[in-house]
Amino acid sequence: MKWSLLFSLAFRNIFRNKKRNFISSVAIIAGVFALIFGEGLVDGIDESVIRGQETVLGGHVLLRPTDYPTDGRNYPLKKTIIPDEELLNFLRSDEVAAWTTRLYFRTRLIKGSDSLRIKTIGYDRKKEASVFTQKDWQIQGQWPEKSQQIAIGHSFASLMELNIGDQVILEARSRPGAINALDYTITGIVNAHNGGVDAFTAWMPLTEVDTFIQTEGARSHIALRLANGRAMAEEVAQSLQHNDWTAATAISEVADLMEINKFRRKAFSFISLILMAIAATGIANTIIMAAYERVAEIGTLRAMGMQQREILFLFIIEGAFLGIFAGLVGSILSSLLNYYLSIYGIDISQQAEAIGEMAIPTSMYTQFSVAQILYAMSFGVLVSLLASIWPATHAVQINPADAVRGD
Amino acid sequence: MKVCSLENIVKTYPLGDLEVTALNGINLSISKGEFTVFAGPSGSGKSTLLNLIGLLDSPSSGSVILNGQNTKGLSERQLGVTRAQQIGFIFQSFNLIPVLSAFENVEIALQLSNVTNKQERKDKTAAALEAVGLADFFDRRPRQLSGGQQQRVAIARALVKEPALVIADEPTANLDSENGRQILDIMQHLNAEKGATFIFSTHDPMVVQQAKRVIRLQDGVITADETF
Repeated sequence: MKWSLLFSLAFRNIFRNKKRNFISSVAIIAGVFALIFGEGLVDGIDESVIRGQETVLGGHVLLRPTDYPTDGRNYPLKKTIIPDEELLNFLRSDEVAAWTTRLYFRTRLIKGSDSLRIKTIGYDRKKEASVFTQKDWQIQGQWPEKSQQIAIGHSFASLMELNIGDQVILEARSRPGAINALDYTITGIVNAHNGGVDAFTAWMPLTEVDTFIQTEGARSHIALRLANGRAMAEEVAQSLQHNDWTAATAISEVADLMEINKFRRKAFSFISLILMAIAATGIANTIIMAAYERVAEIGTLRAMGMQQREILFLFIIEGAFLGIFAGLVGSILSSLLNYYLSIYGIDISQQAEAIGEMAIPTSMYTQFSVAQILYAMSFGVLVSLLASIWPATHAVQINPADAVRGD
Repeated sequence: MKVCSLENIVKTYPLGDLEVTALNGINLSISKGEFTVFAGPSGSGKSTLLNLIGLLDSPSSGSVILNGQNTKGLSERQLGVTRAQQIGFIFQSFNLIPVLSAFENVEIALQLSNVTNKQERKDKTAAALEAVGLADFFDRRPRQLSGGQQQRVAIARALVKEPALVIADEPTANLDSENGRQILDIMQHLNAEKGATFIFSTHDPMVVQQAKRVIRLQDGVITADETF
């Protein structure tokens, strides 16, 4: 087999009818684009949601009292417990780089004649930043430092038209069961870029929470940042099965959202497959047209001694070249878009806020994966190559005696 | 020395329910260095005969013997190898590969006949193109050449591998008389100088006049075989 000759001829042949070949390649370009961009987007959504959970809500591993609800809507104070020494000893182990406790509880915020039920997060001012880096958080004003001060989420502030310095009343049932109400001053408006804490949320130091609702040191959440990051989360969560506390990784916390994302992934794959099927038809049509246009040429090559299987491979290689060209164009276009969106992200703040308290970041970043690009490109080339086989067998069957006369 | 012999060649084609006999009992021999023309009206069997001699087609019965080897029973692959190494073709419509330059159109014949040494290919290709007066046209694509120049490239392509036999199917039919005469002169010159064996099919009286041997065909049989 004279491979170098076949590759050289095939490469030149694809430039013979540039417009037709380009049009045939468009579906492959679109298919590869959809595959790479779709996967990058879905992977990006997965990663953004996990990261949103890790950096704002629960760290790599989140501990809750064992019978505490995990629906993210109910925060029963009766279920909160005081972390015991055994648990604290584990949290001081090398695997845990940092940890912090939180207490979530329901409050009613009253401003004049308006009131709204919100979630209040009691946080440990000293430890909070060691688990949640807060590097992307923006705070207008400052975090509460004195008694009867709070910060609130920015979308909530916007909804209630609350500003720094405003006085509000917080009403909540204490852990023992009494209803308490106190005046609070808003000192900060927080934008954590995450619907989970920017909507319907107030922030209050745990020392203030302990006074306000008499928790006696009971906590609802303990968030851990691990020394080895997400990779060890599952293992650490397994080893943390304490009688009173249950551990969950960030990934398991957002499993429902990721499950929904699987449908998106399937939808993109399905669209890609349809585009590839259209592409295969186009490529097959292009190759068979090329074969019929080049009957005399095929006959001449056969007359000069080119073997039938070399003619077969000539057309298959042409198909493969079309696939490579289309795959490259599709990959470059989708990679550029993916790369851009992996840096600058997609603003979905309106959608995230509309969803409410779910841990959805207000910006999504696509994932840029070389492996995914190579996979999609290979898929495009394979489709093109397979689509060329049938028309190439037609080219082989052309009778050289008829062909040299161009019949 | 016989380059090619045909023994009792019959070639029939199916035409609907009928069977058409294109060649009927052809016997002939072509010797080395001959300049032979198959002459006859359309449908007389000239092209069919050339296709059989060129191993592009196989006879319904009879044998084609090329350089002493009976080609009957050779596989498609073996026929391809034989064509690549022993037969050069010149076609009425030139049949150059449009994506290749003049030089590459000639060189490809050597690549297909398994001349693997690149330098040898380059030297032979250059010499073949120079022999047909195209030393300054190596890089031209077929569309950048006139009909006469394209046919000269086709002659160089047919002769570059020094085949036992050059088969030319109406080589001047698509050329004006001046270019046709030049092409014929080149082939006669190569026939005389290199001893290349040429077999033509033609309607062109000028070609018939220049031939050393004229075989006339009518309705698939040889009606005359004249040597001058």
